[in-house]
Amino acid sequence: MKNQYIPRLAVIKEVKDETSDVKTFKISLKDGRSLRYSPGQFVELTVFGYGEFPACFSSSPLSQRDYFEVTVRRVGDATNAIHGLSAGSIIGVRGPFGNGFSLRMLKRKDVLIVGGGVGLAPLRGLIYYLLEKRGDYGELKLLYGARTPDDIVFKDEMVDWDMDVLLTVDRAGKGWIGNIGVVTILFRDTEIKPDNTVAVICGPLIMISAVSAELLKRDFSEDQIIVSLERMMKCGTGMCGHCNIGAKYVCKDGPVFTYRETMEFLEAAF
Amino acid sequence: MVDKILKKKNLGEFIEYLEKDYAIVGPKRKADEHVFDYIDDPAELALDYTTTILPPKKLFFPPREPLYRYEKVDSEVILHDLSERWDKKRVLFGVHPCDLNGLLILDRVFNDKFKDPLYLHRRKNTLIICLMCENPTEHCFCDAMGTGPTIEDGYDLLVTDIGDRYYFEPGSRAGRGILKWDLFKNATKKDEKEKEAKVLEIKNKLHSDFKVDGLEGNMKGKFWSRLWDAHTKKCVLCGACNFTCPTCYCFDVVDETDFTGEKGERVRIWDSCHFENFALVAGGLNFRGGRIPRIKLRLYHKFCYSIEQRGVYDCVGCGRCIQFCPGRIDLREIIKDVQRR
Repeated sequence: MKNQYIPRLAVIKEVKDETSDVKTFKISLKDGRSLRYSPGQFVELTVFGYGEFPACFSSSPLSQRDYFEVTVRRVGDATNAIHGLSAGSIIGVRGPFGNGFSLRMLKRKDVLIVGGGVGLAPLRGLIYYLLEKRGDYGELKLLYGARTPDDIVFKDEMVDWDMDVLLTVDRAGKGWIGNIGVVTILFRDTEIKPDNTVAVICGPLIMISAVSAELLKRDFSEDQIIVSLERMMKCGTGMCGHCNIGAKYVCKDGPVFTYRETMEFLEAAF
Repeated sequence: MVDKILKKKNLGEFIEYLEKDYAIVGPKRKADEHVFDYIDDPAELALDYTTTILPPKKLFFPPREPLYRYEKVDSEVILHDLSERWDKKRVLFGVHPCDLNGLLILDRVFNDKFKDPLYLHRRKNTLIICLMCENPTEHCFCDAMGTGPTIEDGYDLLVTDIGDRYYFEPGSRAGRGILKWDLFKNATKKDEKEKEAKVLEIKNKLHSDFKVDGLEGNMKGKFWSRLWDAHTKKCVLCGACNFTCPTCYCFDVVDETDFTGEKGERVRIWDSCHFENFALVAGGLNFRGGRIPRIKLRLYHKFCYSIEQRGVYDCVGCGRCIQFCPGRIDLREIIKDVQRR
């Protein structure tokens, strides 16, 4: 039986600065094979000598076959270490893990995507997937909030996304003429109806909770709201115990849940 | 195959017979307590033990276990699998029914949708000789959990001490094979009667005054109850209950790197959900920063979440968490309180 704790070796192909503390890494497996994954799933990345950390795919598995991307904010030892690496560096990859977004559930629906901060990373993977299969989905809309204009990730790409994109920042700097305030203020500027719509949310806890409350107020049902949750996922296989919420392991049963599912947890999900 | 009898005076010979094919692990005296350990001399095997400090999970899921070694050579990285591969099988001799039930629960954890190769290798290569427990302690409540004093399966051989001889019942093909050895005699009706009398005698030593029927539902309904404040006051969050528990399986994964940073090992070590950083994520957000949520997590995992995850309570009534708790917290009192209100 294979020792699942041993990562596959991979090479960083490209590093792109998104903001002062967020980078996107383009990664290929060293053996040349492609990783089969689905948007919303995650990998465990090892920076040898520093440790392992979970990161959601920020790329789409459709067009980007011979590599995958992760977008990582530096917050701990291992994420700081990967920020110090450049193209050509060897890292370890375990996964993919987790359930990912239910693409079946989104089919032929309008999809309202709400992201906060680096929480846009897994949503970017989803967005590319939906755009590549544009015909299978209805209207796509992104509401995104960042701390400051400088903290907006994927700025340069967003303009090319064939969908409504609404932005806001908590604190504006010079030259910002856009919205200021938490992401829910964007609800004022655009029509958001529950009919035939599924909302997908990823971001800080307080944002998930405020956005879901706003959606419920607008008659979205608990099944029409999908959230991607963060926990300390160490093993990725539902054994080490660190990522549990009630009886669920976020690594194995999640990280994507419907709002209704999160209501059934005994502990608060967000 | 009929059950077999082994004279006690032949036990040493039996162990030596087993040693030809197996390494022997069993209860061994250590200061005033007992521990499971490798047996070099049959005389070390202390089958009259009451309980051990650590349950047998340590033999399958060690407190610290290397997973792989990495080495940076120039710009390459070389990985070496460190999972154990035994060339000799092992016999776990003398495990009590409660602890064996603990292993059966761990089997469900490590052999679920995902398989843990390290645990399963050890499990597959270990024969289990289960021993009927003679001396329940004041902490035991296997009778309430339904995990003792008798056991129906999970063993290769089940042994009952009936005075000057042992009564052996096979539970697997491997167990039946061992019973073919010369010194085993067929059990007579009289032997069987004596064994049954012994089992009854053991059953009569256990008197738990509570039931766990409906416990899962009662736990669910009391998640926000104030009863948890009272019961968790004396907890010092030391993790002793986790580490001595036959079914606690949480672990941490860490890199142990040498000073050059060029090579090191990834290891997994037992972890405790009571420790402050258990649910801490990067950036400083702690999903269970408070002490009560952490203490509750263990109790809910044992008696509520486990039903959803595995269909069983993750507790076998071995009593170690009561015996080793520095705050003298008695799990039985908590269960009774949940069931009462």
